[in-house]
Formats: sequence, structure tokens, C-alpha cells
Amino acid sequence: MIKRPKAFKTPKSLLDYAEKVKKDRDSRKLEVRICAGPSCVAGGALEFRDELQKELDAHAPQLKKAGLTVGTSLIEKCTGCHGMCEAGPLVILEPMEIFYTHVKPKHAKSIVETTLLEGEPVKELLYSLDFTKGGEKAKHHSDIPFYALQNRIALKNVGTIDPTNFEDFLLNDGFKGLVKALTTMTPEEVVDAVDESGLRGRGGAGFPTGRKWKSALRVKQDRVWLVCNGDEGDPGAFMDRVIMDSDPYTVIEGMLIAAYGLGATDGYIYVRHEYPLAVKHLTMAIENMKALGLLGENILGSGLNFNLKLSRGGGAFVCGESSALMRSLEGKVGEPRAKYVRSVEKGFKDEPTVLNNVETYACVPSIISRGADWFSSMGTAKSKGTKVFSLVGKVKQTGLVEVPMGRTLREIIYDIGGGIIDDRPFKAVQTGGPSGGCLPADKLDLPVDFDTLTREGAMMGSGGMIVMDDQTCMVDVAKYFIKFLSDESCGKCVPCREGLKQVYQILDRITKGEGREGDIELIEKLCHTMEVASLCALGKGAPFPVLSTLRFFREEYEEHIHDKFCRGGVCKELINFHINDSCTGCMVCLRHCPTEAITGERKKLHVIDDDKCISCGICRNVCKFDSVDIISQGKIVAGKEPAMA
Amino acid sequence: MSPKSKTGKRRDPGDVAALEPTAGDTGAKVPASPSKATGDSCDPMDPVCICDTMDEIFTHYPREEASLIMILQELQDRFNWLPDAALERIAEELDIPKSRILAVSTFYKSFSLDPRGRKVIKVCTGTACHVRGAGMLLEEFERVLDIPVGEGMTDDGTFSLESVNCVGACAMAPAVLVNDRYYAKVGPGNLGKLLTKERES
Ligand SMILES: Cc1cc2nc3c(=O)[nH]c(=O)nc-3n(C[C@H](O)[C@H](O)[C@H](O)COP(=O)(O)O)c2cc1C
Ligand code: FES
Repeated sequence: MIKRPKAFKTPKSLLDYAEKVKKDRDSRKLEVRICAGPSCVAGGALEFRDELQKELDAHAPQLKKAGLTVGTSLIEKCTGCHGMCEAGPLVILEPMEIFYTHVKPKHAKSIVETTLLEGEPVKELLYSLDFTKGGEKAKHHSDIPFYALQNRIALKNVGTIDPTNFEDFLLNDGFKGLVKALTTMTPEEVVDAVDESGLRGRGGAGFPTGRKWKSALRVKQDRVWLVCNGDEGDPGAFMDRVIMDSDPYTVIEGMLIAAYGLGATDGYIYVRHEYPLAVKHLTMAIENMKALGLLGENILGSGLNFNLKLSRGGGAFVCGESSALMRSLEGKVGEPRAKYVRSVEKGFKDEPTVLNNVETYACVPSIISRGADWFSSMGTAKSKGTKVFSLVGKVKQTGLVEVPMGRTLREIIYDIGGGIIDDRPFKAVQTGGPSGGCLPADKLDLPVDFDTLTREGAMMGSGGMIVMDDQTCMVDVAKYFIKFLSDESCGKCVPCREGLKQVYQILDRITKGEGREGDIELIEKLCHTMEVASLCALGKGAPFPVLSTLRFFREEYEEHIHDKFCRGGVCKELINFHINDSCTGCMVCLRHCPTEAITGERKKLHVIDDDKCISCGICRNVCKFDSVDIISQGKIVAGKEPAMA
Repeated sequence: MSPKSKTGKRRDPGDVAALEPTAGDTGAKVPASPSKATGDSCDPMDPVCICDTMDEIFTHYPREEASLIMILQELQDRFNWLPDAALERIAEELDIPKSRILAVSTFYKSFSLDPRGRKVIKVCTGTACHVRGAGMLLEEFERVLDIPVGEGMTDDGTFSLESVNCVGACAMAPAVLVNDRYYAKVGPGNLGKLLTKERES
């Protein structure tokens, strides 16, 4: 082991140390990377690690004979999220490029004996290319489309490094961008490079980052605040969480480069309340960097001073909006203010403030170290670089994917995501979160970038992509978003506060089969008012989920109103449950039914009593034989659905 | 967890031992267990005990309005809710009207003005979880625990039930967070197992 200096006083000392660590690690022959993201941990990743450690100890002599010494040439470590959460817990072995899925503690032994000692993969753990048990296996992770089709910049270290290990970060070009900026560039050149790269904000609005920074430079200032928006309010998007908890140093490096470019001396990272691991890892990183002289006064002897603090959110969606976030940082209620006051002039504490999203900052180190041209060579004419998407909902391979802008929805959902669960028909993809919209199947070939999706009435937003199949009700989806926004509206302006409430009531009655003639027009009118008269983008954007579903799925609204028919089989008041002939009489649904509505004997067909049934859907959920159908207006609207693990 | 919790004994929601960090805790400046400052009998309803804990909390922050949210967060971390006596004390110390403190603590979802169970079950009802049946799951939790979402706690003081907008495990929907522990792909079929595990830990 080489000793880490107490603090780094010059860029050279940091580079020298990185060089030494590199040499030392050359002796490392094999790395076992265990994903310790929340999904994999929930699946038992940490229990697997414990078991693996035991097995490694038990096999230490044999391993040694094979040239593998645990702790030096063989390292076992926990990394952040690998991205393919659906197949977790995940384990990767490098440099063999072996990718194991659904790993359980009991597999530790065979991994040690078969893979580590004999160099052979454990077949049953390899990724199945066609999602079936007996299907063809992927020998290397680069054979898997989910990874092969990605291009990772913001996620460059995510899943490869141990987020709590400073040396791991350093080895993966850590602080290369910062050192380059401090030693070879003036602050103006840094801002110019970001401007030329074409980087646009990843937080939702897509505002050009370089332009924001340049306008900040023009403001007369004594002090500039730098804020990182890690509130990630878009439900269904989790890329910021993963970047923060899997690669915290990169976010901070991005902020440091920004601080140098903008002359900012103080900053905050505002982290969403529900992200305990991100708080933990960022806090560790900040403390560590302070101790090493990489935060604070005269960083690396360059004269750059930057103090960074972490602040936790309070669980309010509107606090992701930049002006509300700054109020929240001040300890106040997070109400947004009108847009004409610019944050770069009067932001946090009414002082000049530059605020960017987590992913935006995470792109900055690579832009500086690899050049603006390199970044802008990827993407489309007006949306440069890559974007991380959280591919979730009814898609086979859920997870985080980073692709160059301009890939089509189809490529992302079908080529990378493997298509719809159970190969059901695709109905819609929701992008852009609560201010975004739903796009139907005939829009699948649209290239995904900021401007195309906005033109179609959706939005790229922060990158949430919720895939929906035919068993989704679009009126219910619209109602869901309106309910969400109505709960989260801060209540300051009338159009948003009252408009949302009214739209919700109308949608609610439509889903209950009590919709009236003229309801659709009334919704449209209310939406228009909200769009033009609301104070902040929460209210202004609130109509989009409704308007886009009205635009592409109007017939579903009409069916609910006129025929009391829900084709998705979702709206409780409009559906019944029925057990079909495939029922084996296993009694599972009977035991789970909360109202004792199901009768039947073992090995005999069960029956649901409609009078007692409350349409909770539990029987269908627990049935292993797809024997429960959903019926609306006498038609079977939902047959088979995947049971939950 | 303290040995006491292993016995599964009925605990007062204010029982300080319940406030220790659990696995996967934020680790961010974990406040020292208030039992050290207040003794094991600390009762958040009792202003005397509050005082000791509050004294300690106030040493961590400058006495200004900007510290309000952080103070409330630490208080919430320790007691799992915000006792009224503590809010009075904050108003006094920061010299701001209590109405402002109430405004902040009711605006942010993460604060609770009512006592909560030792374990807070947060069922995600974000979009990804919604389309995979979070609504049904939440109703089932309400039924099994026999408490409405967002209110009160189970009779034994173990659980409170809340819904949240997203816990960042969208790929494994429906997701549930119990204190700081994640559960993925929760459904009516495995909900019982989850509760048993949590009850025992
Ligand atoms: C209601 C609302 C919620 C928002 N939530 C977030 C959020 O959670 N995270 C985020 O980065 N930006 C969010 N934004 C966008 C921010 O206001 C801001 O534009 C962005 O953080 C700027 O960073 P960027 O330019 O790097 O994207 C939200 C905006 C609105 C109107
Ligand atoms: S939507 Fe449930 S975890 Fe994100």
C-alpha cells in the first residue's frame, strides 16, 4: 500500500500520487465488483458480499496458488449502481468482462470455485440474451445490447468505482478536468469551453449552460454562489440519485471547475430528502476533499477558494424549481417567484447565484479534459452530447441508460430496453415528468432531444421514460399527474392552486364513470388558463400530461364518459374481476382476498362474488397462472400480467 | 439496534432507543443518541427532556432563521416527529414567530407534527411505481396495518405509513422504503414478509 499524502498542495502532487496508485494497482489481476445500489441491496447484494468474503477466506490457499492474493491481486469491492436494476443483484468480474445477474449468497461458492479458480463462467448466472432461462447467454457484458448501445459520460464511473474510495476515483481520470482547468486555462476559457460544447442543462428546461455562465460573468458581483440541484423531483427519474451516490467526486469536480470559471467561492448541493445514500456518500466526499485540501482555501495552490456544503431537501417537489430551491436553502418555505428576477443577479440570499443540475455538473469534467469539440461531436444539431434516461415502467430491461441525443424512442425502448414485458403491445411512453407528456406508438421513431419532444407536446425533461403497455389507462395517468401536482402546488398563485383542483375533480369523475358531456372541453379551458397565468413552471407545465393524453388518446376519455368503458382495465368503478378456466384451485387468491369475495375449494375453479369484490386487484397480482381477467362492459380488457417477484 | 429493541417489546414512539440510525443510514453527522443527553426516559411530550436535546441541537447551528430547516431536520431525525414544545423553543431561540415555524414544518412533507411509529413505511407512488400497481399496494398496507396513510401509527407504536413521490428505485417498482432500507418489487404477495422482517429488526 502506498501512503496517501495528508493534503495535496499542488496539481503535481495530485498527479504524482495518481501515478503511484496506478503503478500499485497494476498488480491487481482481478476485480469482483458487486453492485451496492439500493435495488441490488434490496435484493441481497450485501449478504452476497458477506458470503463471498467467507468463501474467499476459505479458499485463500488455492487462490494464492493460482496467483490471486485477496486484498492485492484479487479485490472484491462494492460499487454504485450498474444500471441494469431489473437483473440485479449484479456482479461484474474484470478484466474478464464477466457479467452475473440475479446473484444470491448461495452463488458465492461456485463463483470462487468455478470462475476464480478455474476461469470458467458460472453459466446459470450469465445474462440471457432473450430474457428466457434457457436462452443464449452473454459471455461478456459488452455483448449485451443494454450496455453495448450506451455511451457513458455522465455515468462514466458509475458502477465501476467504489464511490467511497478516493483512489478509485483518482484512477479513473479523477480530477483530470480540474487540474487541466487550473493549470492550462483561464476562467474565461473554461466558460468558453462549456459554451462551445453546446452543453444544455440536464435538469429539465435545457437552458444552455454556457450561456447561463456567461450571463453570470457579466453581473457585477462581490460574491457568487454555486448551487447543485439534486432535488430530482420527477417521479420515475433516478439518474441524479445514481450519479450522486455512485460517483460523488465527479459532481464535486464539476462544481469546482464551475467555481473556477465563475469565481464562485461558496456553494451548496441540495439533495432530495428520500436519498439517504446520496447524502451519505456526498458528505463523505466533501469531508474527504476538505481534509485533502481539495475544498476550502487555495485549492491545489491555485488561489481558488471554494467552500461546499450539503443541504437536504424537505420532500417538496416545487423545491426543485430553482427560485424555490434557493428559498428553501434560506430556511424558508419553498415558494417560487416570478421569472423576471434572474438568479444570476439575485438568487440565494439575493446574491448572484448560478444553479445547475447534478448531471449537468457531472458532464463538465469530461468536457474540460476531452475538449468541447469531442462533446459537441455527439448528439443532434441543437442538443449536444449524451443524456441519461431512466427507462422504467412496463419495459423488460429497466434501468439507467446513457445514449447520445438523437437516438429514437424505439432504439431506447426496444433495442436497449428489450421491448415490453411479456411482449404486450406498447401504448405510450411518458417523458418529462409532471410537465411532460405521453407519446403514442406512431411517435416511436422520433429522435430524442430537447426540441423534438417539446414540439410533440411532451418534453425530454430530466430524462424519465415511463413505458406503458395496453394495460394502462391514459385517463388514469392524466389523473395521476394532476393529483401529484395538485398535492405539490405551493398554493401561491390561483391558476395553479385552483385550476389543478378543478381539473382533478373532473378527471376523477370521468374515471368513476360519472363524466359529463362537455367535460373534455372544460378541462381544455382550465388547462389553457393554467398554462398562461401560472406563476412558475409547475403550473405552466401542469396541463401537458393532460393535453398530450387528450391529443393522442382522446378516444379513451370519450369511452370513459360515454360508454363507461376503461380499455386499460384500471378504473375500479368501471371494471369487474373474473376467474377463468385456467384456475388450478390453488387457493392463493382466496387467502389474499381482503373482503372474502372469493370462494372455492382446493383443485376446483374459484369464483369471485361481484357484490363483495372491491376491485383491489390483489387476486390478479398474486395469481401465478394468469387466471384472473379484468372485464369492462362485458369485454375482457386484461388477461395476462406478470406476477411480481 | 439496542438490545431492547430485539425483544420486540412495546415501545413508546418517543422511546429514544428507537431513534438510532438503522442500516443504510444517512451517516451524515448522525446525531448522538439523545439518550446520552436526556436519559432513557426521555419523553418528547415532556418539555424538560426536550430542553436537553434542544440545547445540544442548538450547538450545531448558528441561531438564525436560515438554520430553521436544518434544526427541524435534526429534530425530526431524533424523534421521528416534531414535538410542539420543541417548536416553541425554536421560536424563542431564533426569535421568529411560531407561525413561521409551523408554515415551514407543514410545507415540507418530510416533517411530521404528530408522533410517528418507530419505523416509517414509505410506499412510493411515483409514476413508475404507479403504473406497476403502487396504488393497490398502498391500500393493502393500510388494510394490513389498519392505519390510514399519513396518519398515526400502529397500536404497538411500530409502524407509520406514508406515501412518497419517488425513492429513486424506479427500475424495481413498486418500491418501498422503511426508515432507510429499500424494498424492491413489493406486492401483496410479499408484503407480509417485509413486515415480519421489519418488526423483528
Ligand atoms: C416544478 C419544477 C421542478 C423542478 N425540479 C427540478 C429537479 O428536481 N431537479 C433539477 O435539476 N431541476 C428541476 N427543475 C428545473 C430547475 O428549475 C432548473 O431549471 C434546473 O435545475 C437548472 O439546471 P440546469 O440548467 O443544469 O438544468 C424544476 C423546475 C420546476 C418548474
Ligand atoms: S417512481 Fe417509485 S421509486 Fe421512482
